[in-house]
Amino acid sequence: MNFIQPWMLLALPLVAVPIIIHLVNQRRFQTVPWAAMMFLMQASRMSAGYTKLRQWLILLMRALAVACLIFFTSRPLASGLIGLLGSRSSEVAIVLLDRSPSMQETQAGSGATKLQGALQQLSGTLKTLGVQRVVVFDTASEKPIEFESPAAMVSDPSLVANGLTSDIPGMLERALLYVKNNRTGNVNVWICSDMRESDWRSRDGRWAADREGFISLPQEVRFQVLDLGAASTENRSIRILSAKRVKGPQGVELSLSFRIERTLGSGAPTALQIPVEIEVGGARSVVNVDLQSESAEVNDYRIALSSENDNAGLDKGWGLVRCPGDTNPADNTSYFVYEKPAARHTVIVSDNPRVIEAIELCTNISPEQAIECETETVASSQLDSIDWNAVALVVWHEQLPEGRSLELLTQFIAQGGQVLLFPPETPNDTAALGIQWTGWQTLDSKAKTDAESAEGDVTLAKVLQWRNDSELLGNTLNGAPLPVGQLGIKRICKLQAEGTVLAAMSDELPLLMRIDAAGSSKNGVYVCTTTPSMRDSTLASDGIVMYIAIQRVLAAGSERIGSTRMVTVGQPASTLFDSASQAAGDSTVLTNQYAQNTGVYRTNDLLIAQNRLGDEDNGKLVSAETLSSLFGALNWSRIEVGASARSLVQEIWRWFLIVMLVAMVVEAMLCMPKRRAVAMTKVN
Amino acid sequence: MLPTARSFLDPKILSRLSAVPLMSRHAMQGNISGRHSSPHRGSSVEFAEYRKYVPGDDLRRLDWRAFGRTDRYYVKEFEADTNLRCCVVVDTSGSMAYASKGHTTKIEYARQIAASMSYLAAQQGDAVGLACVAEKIVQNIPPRRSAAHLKVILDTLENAKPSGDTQLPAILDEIAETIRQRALVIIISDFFVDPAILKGCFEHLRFRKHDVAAFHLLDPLEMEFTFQRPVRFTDMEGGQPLFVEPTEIADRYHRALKTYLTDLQRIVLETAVDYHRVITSEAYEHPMMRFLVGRTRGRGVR
Repeated sequence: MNFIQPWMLLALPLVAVPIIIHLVNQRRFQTVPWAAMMFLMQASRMSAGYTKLRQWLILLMRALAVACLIFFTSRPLASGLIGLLGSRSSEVAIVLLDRSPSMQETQAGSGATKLQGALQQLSGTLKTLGVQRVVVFDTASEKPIEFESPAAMVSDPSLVANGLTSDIPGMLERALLYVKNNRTGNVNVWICSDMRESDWRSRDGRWAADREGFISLPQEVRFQVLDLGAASTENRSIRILSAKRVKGPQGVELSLSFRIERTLGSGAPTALQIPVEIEVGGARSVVNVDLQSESAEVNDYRIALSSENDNAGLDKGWGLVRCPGDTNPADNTSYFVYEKPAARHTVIVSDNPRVIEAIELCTNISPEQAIECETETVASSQLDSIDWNAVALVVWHEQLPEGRSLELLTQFIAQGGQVLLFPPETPNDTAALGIQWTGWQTLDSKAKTDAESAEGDVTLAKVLQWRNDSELLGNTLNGAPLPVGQLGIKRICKLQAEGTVLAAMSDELPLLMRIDAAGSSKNGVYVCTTTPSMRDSTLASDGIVMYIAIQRVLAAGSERIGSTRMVTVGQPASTLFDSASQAAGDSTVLTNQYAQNTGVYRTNDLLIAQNRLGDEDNGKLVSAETLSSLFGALNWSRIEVGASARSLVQEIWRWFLIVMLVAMVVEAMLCMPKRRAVAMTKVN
Repeated sequence: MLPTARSFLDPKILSRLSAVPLMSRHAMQGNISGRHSSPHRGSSVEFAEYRKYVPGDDLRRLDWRAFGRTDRYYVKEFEADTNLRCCVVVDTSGSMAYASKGHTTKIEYARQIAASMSYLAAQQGDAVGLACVAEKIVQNIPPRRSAAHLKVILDTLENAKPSGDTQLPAILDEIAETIRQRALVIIISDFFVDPAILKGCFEHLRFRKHDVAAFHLLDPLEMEFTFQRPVRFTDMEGGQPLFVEPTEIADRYHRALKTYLTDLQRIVLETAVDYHRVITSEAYEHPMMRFLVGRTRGRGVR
C-alpha cells in the first residue's frame, strides 16, 4: 500500500495516545475507604474472562480509530502492486510504450487490446497520483510525445498500435537523455509492455549503458514495469517466408512459402485444420493447413499467374495470406510482393585472374533456373562507368577504396548493396569502410588433424569456429551445416575492424566478418581475411562454402534490384513512404504512419510489402530472472496488469473511513454500561 | 414520655410508628403481664384447654359443668399474656462508619432504628436491652423495663463509635447463650460475613427459642458500585488496601454481591429470621414500619 500524502504518516505515533491516556488514568487513582471489601476480594479472585478482553478490545478499537484517521488523511492507494510509489511521485511521468503488434492482442473480459487497456489503466493511475504532464517514448518516433494530462494519452491517434517491434533499450536510452537534458526531479518511468523478448532485446549491449546512465543520475528514477504479458487464449500467427514468381509446367506461377504458428493458452496442442486465405491480385483462394503441433510450414505452394485475359499481374504484383481471426488480429495477415526476378549482377574489382576466376564461378552459376546471373570485372578506376542500380554485389580484391571509389561504394552500401572485401596481395595503410589491413600472416598447422599430418598435407590451418545459426555460413534449410571445417587456410591478412565475426581461425584471427555500421546493426559489408587463391586457402578448391556464402550475399544484394521489396516494418527509411499510397493493409492507418505499419505500399517506382518482424510471432517472454538482471541495481518494480481494473491504483480512503466508524461504534458498544441498577433492584 | 432531644430520634416518626404495636412472632416468657403471648396458662379471657384435675389445683378453677356432664374433674385453663424481652444488637465495627456521598452512615442509620425500636418497646412495657458489638461485645445493657433504662440505652447508642473488625458470628453465639429467657433479638448490621457462618449463628439463636430479626444495612454505592476511575480501596476494618480498575472488576463485584445476597436470602428463610434488607438511602421509618406491620399479622402464634 502507498499513499499520496505519505507525510501524514508521521502522525502514526498518535496511535499510542489512547494507550497513554489509559496509563495516565491508571496513575490518577483516588483512594476510597470501603466497607464491602469482601466482595472486592471475591471479585479479584474470580477470572477476569471477557471483562479483561473487553478492556483490551476497547483500547484496540480506540487505537484502530486513530490509525484509520491517520491513514485516511494520508490518502492511501489500493494494492501492494506499486511499492512506495506515492512517496516519490512527481508531476512528470515518463512512459515507455510498447506499440508492437503483439500489444494488439485482445484482453479477455474487457474487449480492449492490451495497448488500449494499458493506456486506460496508466491514465487512471497517473491521474490518481496527481501527475500533471506525461512524456511518452515509443519506437516509432524519435522525439518524445508530450501530453498535458494523462487523460489525453488514451485517445491520441499517435499512440495506436503499429507493426513496429519495440526497442525497449533504445527507448530507455532516449528517456535517459531526456532526463539529463531536462533536469527533471525524481521521476517515475513507466514501461508498458507485454514482455516479449523481441521488444526487450535482453542481450542488447545498450542495457548495460542504460543501467549505468540511470544509476549515475543525481535524481532518483524509479521504474514501474507494467507487465501485460499474461497469456490469454490461443493465438495463431501467419508469416510469408517467400513469394517467388517462377516458371512452372502450366506457365508462370507464384511460389509461396508461409508458416503458421500458434501459442497455446493452456493444455496440450490439439490437431487443427486452419483455412488459410490467399489473395493475389484481388483473387482469393483458400488452402487448408493441418496444424498438428505448435507450428506448420507450407513450402512452394503454387498459384498460377498466367491468364489469357489478365497480363497485368503477370510480371509484378502483390498479395496476402490470412488466417482466421483470433485474439490478436495484428498477426493474422502477412503481405507479399512478387515480380519477374532481375538478373543478379556482380562487379568484381580485382587484377588477380585466379581470384577472378574462382569468384566468377560462384557468381555466374545461378541457384535457380529462373534467375539470371551476370558478372563484370572492372578496375577500381572504372567504377564510374558502372550502372550501380543494377548491381547486387561488389567483390573487392584491391587496395581499400579511396576518394571517388570510396564515395561510390559508400552510396552503394547505403542503398542496400552488398560488398565483399578480400585482402590485396600487398596491403597499404589505407583505412576505408571501417577496416584497415595490417599485413599477412602465415598460419601454422596447429589446427590440422593427425590424419592430415600422416598424409603429409602441411601448413593448412583449419577454421576454429563459425556461426552456423545465421548469416553467410548458416546451416542450410534442412539444418545441415556447411563444410566450413574442411577448409584449409594457409595465410590470412590481419585487419583492424569493428564487426561481427562469422568465422575465425582463433580468437584474434577472424576469417570472415560483417562490418557493423554506426547506428545500424546490419550492414552489407563483409570481409574475408584470405583469398580464394591456392596460395592462401582452399576456398576455391573446396568451393561449396564460398559458393553458398557468395550466393547468399548476392541474394541479399539483389533485393535492392527490381521494383518490389519485401521488408520488415522499420527496415526501410521512412522517407521512402513520403509519397506512398496504400495498396493493402489497415485502412485506418494515417498516411504519415505508413512506415510503421504492415501492408503493401506503392511509391513512384516501388511496390513494398511490409510485414512485422519474425520474432513477433515467437511468444517468448522475458523471464523474471532476466528482467531482474536487466535492471540490476536500479530501483524498479514489476506490476502484473489485469484486464478488469480501470486503474492500477485506486484511492481507498473510504475503506479506512468505514473501518474508523466501525471501530468507534464497536468501542461505544463495548463502553456502554450495563443496566445493573435494574438488575439489583430486582434482587431486592 | 419522649426522651430529651437526640439527633437520631424523630418524634414525628416515633408517633407514627407508635400506632403499630411491636409484637413478637413467638411466645415470650415475661415476668409480668403484657401484650405478648406466653407459653404458660394465665388469667386472660382467652380459653386455652381443659386439663384433668390433680390434687393441689385451685378448686375455684374446676369446671363444674364439665363434671356434671362427664362425672369427672376438669380444670379450665386460659391463655396468659406477658411482657417481651427485646435485645437490640448493633454492629459497631469499622465498616458501619461507611456512607457514600449524600447518604447517612450505616452506624447512624443503625442508631435510628435501634433507638426507635427501644422506644417503642419501652412504650408498651417491654424490657429492652442493647449490645454494641464489634470484635467483641463492646457494650452490653441487659433488658429492663424502667424508663431510666431507656435513657441509658439512648446514651449508649449516642456514644457508640464504629471501629475494629467484625466478629459477628462469635458474638451472636455468645449472645444466644447469655440471654436467659426467650427474647426478641434484633440484629442491626451490614452482615459482611460469610452467609454459611451466619446460618449457624441464626440456627443457634433459634434453638434458644429467640425471635430473631435482622436489619441488613447496605449503602447505595455498595449496591451499585458505579466508580469510573481507578480506585485504591482501603479496608475500613483494617485489612489490606486493594487497587482496582472499577470498569474491569464491576461485573465480578456485582456477581459476588448477587451470590452473597441470594445465599443470605436463602439462609434467613431456612432459619426463619425476620430479615429486612435496608438501603441507607431509604428513610428508616419505612423498613421499621414494614417490620412492625409484618409482625402484627403473625399475632397469636404460641
